[in-house]
Amino acid sequence: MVIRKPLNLAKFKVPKGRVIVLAERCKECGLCIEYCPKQILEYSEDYNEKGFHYPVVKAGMENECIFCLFCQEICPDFAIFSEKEE
Amino acid sequence: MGQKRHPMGVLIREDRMPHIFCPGCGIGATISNIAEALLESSLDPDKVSVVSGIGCSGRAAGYFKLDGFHTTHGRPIAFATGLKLTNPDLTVIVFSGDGDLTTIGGNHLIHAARRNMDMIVICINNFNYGMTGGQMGGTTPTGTWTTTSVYGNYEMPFNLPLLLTACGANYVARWTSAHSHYIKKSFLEALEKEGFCFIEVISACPINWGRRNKLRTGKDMVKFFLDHTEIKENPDPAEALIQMDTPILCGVFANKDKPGYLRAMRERLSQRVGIDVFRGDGKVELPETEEKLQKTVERPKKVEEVKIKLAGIGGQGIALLGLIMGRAACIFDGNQAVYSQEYGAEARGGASASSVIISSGKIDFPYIKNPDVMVVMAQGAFRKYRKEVQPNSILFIDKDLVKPYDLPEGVQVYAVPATRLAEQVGRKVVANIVMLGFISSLTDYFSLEAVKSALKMSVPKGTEEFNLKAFEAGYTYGEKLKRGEE
Amino acid sequence: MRIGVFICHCGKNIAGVVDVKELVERASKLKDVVYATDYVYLCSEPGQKEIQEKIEELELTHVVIAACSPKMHATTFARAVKGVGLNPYLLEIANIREHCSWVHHDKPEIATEKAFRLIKAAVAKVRLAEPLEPIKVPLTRKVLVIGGGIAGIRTALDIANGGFEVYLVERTPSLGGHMAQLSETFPTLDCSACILTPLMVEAAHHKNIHVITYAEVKNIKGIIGNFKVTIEKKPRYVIPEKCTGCGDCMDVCPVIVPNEFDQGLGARKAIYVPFPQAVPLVYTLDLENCLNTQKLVVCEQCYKACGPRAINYLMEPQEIEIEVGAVVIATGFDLLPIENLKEYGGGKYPDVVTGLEFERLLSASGPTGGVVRRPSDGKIPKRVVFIQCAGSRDPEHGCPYCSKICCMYTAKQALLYKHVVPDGEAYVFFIDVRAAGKRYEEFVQRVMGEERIVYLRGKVSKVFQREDKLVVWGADTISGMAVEIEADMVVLAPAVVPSKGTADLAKLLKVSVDEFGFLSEVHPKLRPVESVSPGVYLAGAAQAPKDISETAAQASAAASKVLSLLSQKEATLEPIVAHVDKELCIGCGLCWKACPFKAITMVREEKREGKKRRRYAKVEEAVCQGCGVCMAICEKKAINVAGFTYDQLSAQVKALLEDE
Repeated sequence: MVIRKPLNLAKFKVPKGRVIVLAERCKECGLCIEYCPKQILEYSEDYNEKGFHYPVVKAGMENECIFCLFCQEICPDFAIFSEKEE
Repeated sequence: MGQKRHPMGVLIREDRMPHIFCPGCGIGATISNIAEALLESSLDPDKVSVVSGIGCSGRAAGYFKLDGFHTTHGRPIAFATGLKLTNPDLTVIVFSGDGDLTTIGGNHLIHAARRNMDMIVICINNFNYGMTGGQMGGTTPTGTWTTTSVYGNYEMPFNLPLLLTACGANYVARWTSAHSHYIKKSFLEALEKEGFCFIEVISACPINWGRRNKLRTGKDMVKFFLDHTEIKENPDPAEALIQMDTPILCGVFANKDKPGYLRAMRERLSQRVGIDVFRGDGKVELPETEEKLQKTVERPKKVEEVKIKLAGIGGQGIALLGLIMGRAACIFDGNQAVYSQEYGAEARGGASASSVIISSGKIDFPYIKNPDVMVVMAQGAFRKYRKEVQPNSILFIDKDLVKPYDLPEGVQVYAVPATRLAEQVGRKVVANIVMLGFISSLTDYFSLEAVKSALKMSVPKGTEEFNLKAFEAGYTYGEKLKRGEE
Repeated sequence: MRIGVFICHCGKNIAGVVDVKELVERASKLKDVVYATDYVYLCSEPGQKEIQEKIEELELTHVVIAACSPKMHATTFARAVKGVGLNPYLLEIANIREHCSWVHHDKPEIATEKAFRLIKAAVAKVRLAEPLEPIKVPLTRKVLVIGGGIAGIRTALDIANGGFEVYLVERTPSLGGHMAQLSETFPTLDCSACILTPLMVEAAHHKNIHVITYAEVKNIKGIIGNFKVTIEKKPRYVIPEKCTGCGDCMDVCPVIVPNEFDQGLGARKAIYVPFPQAVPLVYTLDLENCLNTQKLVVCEQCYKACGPRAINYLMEPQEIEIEVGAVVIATGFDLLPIENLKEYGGGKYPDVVTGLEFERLLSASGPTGGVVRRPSDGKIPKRVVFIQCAGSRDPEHGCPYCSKICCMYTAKQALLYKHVVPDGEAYVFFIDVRAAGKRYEEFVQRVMGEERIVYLRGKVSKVFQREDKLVVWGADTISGMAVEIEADMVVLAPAVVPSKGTADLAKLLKVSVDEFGFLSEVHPKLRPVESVSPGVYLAGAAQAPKDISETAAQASAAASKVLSLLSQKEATLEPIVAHVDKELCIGCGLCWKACPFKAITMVREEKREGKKRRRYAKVEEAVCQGCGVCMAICEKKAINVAGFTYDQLSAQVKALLEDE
C-alpha cells in the first residue's frame, strides 16, 4: 500500500500519563528505561543519596507517556509510577 | 517528586523503603504485582495474611502492610497450615523463595500440595539460596556455577510444575518476574479457588547467581528470561524442566477444582460426627452426645492414692484396662487419675504395660516406682515385672496363664481365669474386661456405676452389651471368691 | 464382435473437406466392422435415432462415431447408446472435425486419409474396450464456502435456505468484502452497507450457517462428496463469546495505525473492528502493531478496560477439521496496486487515488465523513479528473482484458462527487463507455447530460505535480486535440485482479487458473460456475471481473449447482480410473510416488501358500482422476486406466502408423 497518512487522526484519543519518580528508592537497575514501550526514559545525570542514577523523562518527551504502567509493574523498588492525565 | 505516594503505598510498608533487595531483583517486582492484584481484588486487608520463611524472598512478609509471620527456614507452609486451620476465613498467602520452600522445605511443600491445603504459595525461584551468598539448591540448573557447585552443578533441578501437578495441587502456574500481567492474572485466579495454589515466579538474582553465570545485571537476566521464555496456553508439565539451553516454559500447568482440604474435612466430619461448623476461634461445637459427660455421682468417692501397674502381652487389652480405670476414677468419680503406657513395637505379641494412679488428692508424679497393685495377665509379663512387686501389695493375675513365684512377703494374690471366662462369654479379646469386673468386685478404688460408665464410653459402639457381659462374668467370679465359693 | 461406424457430415464442417463417402466405404472393410454409414448431423434427434435403431437392428456390440470433438457431444452420444442398452464405454468417438477437417481444410485429400486413420484407430481401440460402470460415492451434506463477501454470503444463504449446513470462512475479521467499503452502488445509488448488512446479519444468525472469520483454509484433501478441510483460525486475542463489542478497549489503546478497510486513508487502533457494522461484532487485536509481543505483555490497558474480561494475550492459532461434500470458491478481487501506475503518478503523489480510495472518501462512514478531501492537505478538490482503463485493456500492465466495472463506477463516483461538491468540475478520460447492464446506459447518459460531467475520449499520457496541482496531459480524440487539465485530484480506475492467495487456494483444490490468475470455469458460456475439479464451484469476481448484480446471480447459480449435487443420494464419478494387475505388479512404488492426487497406496498382501508376502499398489478409485501418469511410469505395464489401457493405446498408435 502507498504510505497514506490517515485523514481522521483527530478522532482518535490515546491515554496520556505523567511519570513520577521516587528517586531515593531507585537502585539503578535500569529495567524501566529498557522496557518502556515508548522509550521515554533515560538515566539522570546526578545521583540519589545512595549514589545511584535514577530515571528521568527524556527532554521533550513529557507528553509521550501512554500510561501503560509497565515501569510501575517492573520496578522492583516501588520507585517509579505514572499518573493518568485527563 | 517525593511528595507523591506510590499507588501500592496502601499495602506496602513505605517506612521500610528502600528495601534490602539488590538492584534488578525480581522479588520487588513480584511484591508490587501481588500488592496490585490484592488491591484489585478488593479483599479486606484484615482478612489477608502473608507467611514467609528465611531468605531474601522470605523478607516479603515484612514489607506487606498485612498481618503475617516471618517463620523459620523451610517451615512457612507448616505455619501457614496451622494459621489456616485455626482461622479458616483468612486468605493465607505463603511468599517465599525456592531454597526455603523447595530445597529445605520440600517435605512440607509436597504434603501441603497433596492434601490440597487451602493456601496460595508464591515461590520466587531464583535458582539458588540467595541471601546466604548464592549456594546451590533444588532448583539450580545443571552446569551452572554457585558457591557450592564450583565445577558446575552436577545435579538436575526440580521441575516444580511437574512436581506440584503430580502431587495434586489445584492450581499450578509459572511466570517470570517480567510477566507482571500474567502474575496478577494468575494470582487473581488463585484467589477464586480453594485448595493448593502454587505460582512459581522465575526471578533475577543478579548479584548472587546471575553475576557468576555471565548475567551480571538485572537487565541481563530479564533479557535472558524473555529470550528464552515460551508461553503456551496449555503447557505440558513434563516439558517444564529448566536448563540453561532449553526454553523456560511458562503458563498455567494445572487448573483443577478438586475440593480443598477444609471442604474435604468438613464433608467427612459432617457425615460421621455431625460437625459442620468451624468457629473462627478454633473451637469446635460438639453435638449433644447420648451420655452426658457429666459426673454420675453426686459426691466424689474418696480414695487414698493408689498406684496400679498393669502388664501383659500386646493385644490383651492392657492399655484399655488401665484407661477405663483411669476414666472411671476421674471422669465419673470425680477423682484425679494419671495414666501412661509402655509397649513394644509389635502390634500383637509384644510386651504391653500401663500405669494408673488414682487419688482424691493431687498426684505429683506420673511414673510408678512402687506399685500398690499389680495386674499381670501373662507369664512373660510376670517375668519382666516380677522385681517390681512390692511387699504387702496386691497382685491380680490370670489364673490359667500366670504362675507366680518368688514373691516378696505379704503379697496378696487374687486369680481369675479371665481368658477362659472371656472365651465362655464369647471372645477371648474381652479377657481384660473380665479382669476389670474381677478387680471391681475386690477393690473399692472406683464405684461400680463409674466403672460401668467408663466401660461403655471406652469400647467400640455396639459392643457395650457384650463387654458388660464379660464384666459381669469377672465381677461374679470375684463375688464368689469373696464368699469363698471359688 | 459387431462394430458399427457412424460418420457425421456436421453439415459442411466435415463433409465440405473430407470425402465422407470414401470413408464409409473404407471403414466398412475394416475387421469386425459390420456396418458403416454417414449422416448429416448425427447429434440431431433423427441422427441419434438412426444410431439407436441400427444398434438394435444389427445387434451392434461396439460403436464408433466419427464426428466433432468428444468435448461437444460425448455425453449426447453416450446417452443415446445407453438408451438402447449398450454400455457407453463401448462407444468410441473419432474427432474428424477439430483434429482433421477444420485444421486441414485446405488439403482435402490428406484430410480424408487422416480421417480414415483416425477412424481406424478408434476401431482398434474400441475392439479392446470393456464395459464400465460409474463409481458411486457417498455425499457429505455439508458445504464449505471460501470468502465472506457478497458472493460468499449470497451462496451461503441460498444453500442454507435449501436445508444444508454451510461453513462460511472469511480471511478478514468481518464479513462484507469490498461491497462493504462502497458508498453507494450503481445504478440505483442504494447505500451499499444498507443493502449488504441485512444479508451479513442473516448469515450470522442463520441456523445452518457457521460463520468463521479471521480464518483461512489451510488444507483440503479428498474428492467430491468427501472433502476433509483443515481451517486455521488466526488468534484474535479476544474471546468471542465474551466480547460485547462495546469498544472500551479501543478507547484506551495507545497505538494508532492505518486501517486497511479505509485503504490507509483512515486510522484504527491496534485493537479494532474494521468498520462499525462488522459481523461478527468482535474486536480483534493486531499483535503485530500492539506494544505487546508473544513473549511479554507490557501494556494491558485493553485488558483492564474490558468489563467481561474478554482479552487473552495467550491465544494460539486454532485448527479445526471439517468434512464437506462440496466447496464454493468466492474469494473475490483486488485492484492493481497503484504503484504500478507510475505514468499516472500512482504511488508518487498523494492526491492520485484509486477508485476504492475515492469510494472511502465519499462514504458517510469513511475517514472524512463523506466529505471529499485531498489526502495531501485535506482541502476539498474543486476539479477532479477520472482516468478509466488505468491498467485494464493494457498489455503493458499485464491486463489486456476489460475490468468491466470501472466505467460504471467512475460514472457513479463522478456523479456523487458533483452532489457533494456542487461547484466542482469532473472530467472523465475514457476509451469506451461500457454500460451493458439493466439501466446502466441511462445512468451514464444522466451522468453525462444532467450532471454536466465532461467525458473526453482519449488516453492520458502523463500526470505530474505543478506546485499544489496535478497536471493531466491527455488526448481528446473526437476533437483531435491534446488536452491539459490542472486538477486538484486524480482518480484512477485500476485493473481488477484476483485477490491475493487465490492462486495458492486453486492449487490446493486442483482448480486451474488462467494466465491472469482468475479461476477457470468448465465452459465460459454454458458452465460458468463449475470448475474443472468435481465438487468445487466458483462464484463472483474470483472467476472474472464482474459487478454486484452479476455476482449475486453467479452466487445463486453456484448454490443451485451445490443443491442439485447434494439432493442426490450419492455422487457419481466417471469410471475412468486406474486398476492394478496384482500378478504383474512388483511393488516398486514408482506409481505411488508419481500420482499427483495421492490416490495410490502400497499394501502388503495376505499370506499366500508357499509365496513370500510382498507389497503391491492399490488404487483408491474414488480419488483417482484417470490422468495416466502411473501408467506412463510403470515399467511392468501392471497399472492401466480403464478405457485407456496400454493395449488400447498401443492398438491406436499401430492403427495410425500402419503402412508407414
